[in-house]
Amino acid sequence: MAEILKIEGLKVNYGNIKALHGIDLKVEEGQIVTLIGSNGAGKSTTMNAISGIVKTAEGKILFEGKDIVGKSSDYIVKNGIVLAPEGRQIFPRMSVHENLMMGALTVKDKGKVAKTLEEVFDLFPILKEREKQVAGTLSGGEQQMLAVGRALMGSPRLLMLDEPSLGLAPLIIKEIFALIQRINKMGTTILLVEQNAKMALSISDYGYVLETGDITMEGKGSDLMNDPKVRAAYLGGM
Amino acid sequence: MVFGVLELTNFAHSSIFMLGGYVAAVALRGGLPLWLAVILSIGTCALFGMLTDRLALMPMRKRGASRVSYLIATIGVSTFLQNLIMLVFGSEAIPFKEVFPRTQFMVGNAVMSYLQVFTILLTLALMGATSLLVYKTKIGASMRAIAQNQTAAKLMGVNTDLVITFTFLLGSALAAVAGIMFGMYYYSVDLQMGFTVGMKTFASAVLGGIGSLPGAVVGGFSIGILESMFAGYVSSGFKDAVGFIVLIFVLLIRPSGLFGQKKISKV
Repeated sequence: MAEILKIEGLKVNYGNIKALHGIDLKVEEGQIVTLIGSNGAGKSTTMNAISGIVKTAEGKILFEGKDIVGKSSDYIVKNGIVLAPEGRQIFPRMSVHENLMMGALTVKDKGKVAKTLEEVFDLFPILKEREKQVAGTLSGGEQQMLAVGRALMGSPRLLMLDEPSLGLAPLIIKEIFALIQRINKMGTTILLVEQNAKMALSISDYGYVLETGDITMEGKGSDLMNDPKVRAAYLGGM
Repeated sequence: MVFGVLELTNFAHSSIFMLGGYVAAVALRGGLPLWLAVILSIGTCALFGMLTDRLALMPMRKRGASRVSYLIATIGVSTFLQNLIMLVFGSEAIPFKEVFPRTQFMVGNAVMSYLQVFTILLTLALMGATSLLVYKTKIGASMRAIAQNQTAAKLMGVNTDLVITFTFLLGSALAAVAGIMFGMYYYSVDLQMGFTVGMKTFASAVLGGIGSLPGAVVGGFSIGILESMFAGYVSSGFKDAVGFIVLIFVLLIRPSGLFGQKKISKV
């Protein structure tokens, strides 16, 4: 399978703080790849660097073979990488419909937008029910679905999800993960960041463990799940 | 306009408004036809609005400046523009050529002039057009997205710099129209017009609810009516104080204004 994303020696600094010390990572087309790690390990930083929201100090980010380091975020979105950021970040005073349409901002073809909207409503029927409602009044789980749906509206080839389970009830987390798998089966490659390592690894083809700016381990999702070190550090010793 | 998108009070706005009045006044005095003077005025203001953002504010955005720094930068631009106007046009008031006939007519007990009717119609038309732009177009949606969450807007593929510059351009073009109307109404433009009007519009905007277009219009009319009533019934000497008294009360009692949205904060 072809590599859709390849990161080589990525370094990111926040002032004097070195957030990423040169990480290597790759995602193959059609896969679900997970990045696990504790708070402050640099997971979100990695995603934000790929999206062009934070500046890359050094290294290469190759998307379908093209280096996208230094490109603006709107260029990166147009070229097929969309991030559903941590904490949902929906537009609270817009309706659900308007939020979804913002996701489709870079898509020129109206017919395609209408078709994607149908698909998103098919995945998240609750969003269709709440279409006219102001997004700020949705529940946490619904807002998360809206954030994922909004990201899908841009028809990304690589969808990045930053902590989609954050702050949600266990039952809803299960539902979200099932939907992530369904989106993947429909043909979207997924890069996932999670603190809920067990859930994330169980649906992933491949995983990376990030510790304070370095990748310390990598392997197939199932292998990482059975690794004693990973179990002790991230799976609560189960 | 700019406040709605950036939550930034643009102090340069009143100077742009003044610039609009001056350019039109000088163009008319020079014998240009009205339509050309209007286009020239709007064009100049739009250009300066765009430059304000590109030269003063965009470099600050790149470095992640704090909100207060932007505010101070717009005050700086305002001072610069005022002095530029003084340098180019001189410090004396410039007469504004009469465009509308002075004839007045009675509506019930009120005296109206054609200019007043025209002003009201133009205001409504511009308000309608601006609302349409903000609520029905892609660039309008991008503006609202930036206002609500700038990072998320970027992640949707909004070119934030372009949209913000466009917002400045549009706001400045509207300020030019206001400057021209001011000139037509008072038959002259001077260096004080920016400050007084700027302060009063600020009070109106707060009363109507900052960032709300209909709020700005209702707020403006309310302050104007209150001022006239105060001048008629109490004292005309202190009529300029009315706006500020209202401002203080609104901030104390209902800081979001008449049409302002209360912030939805949900975790």
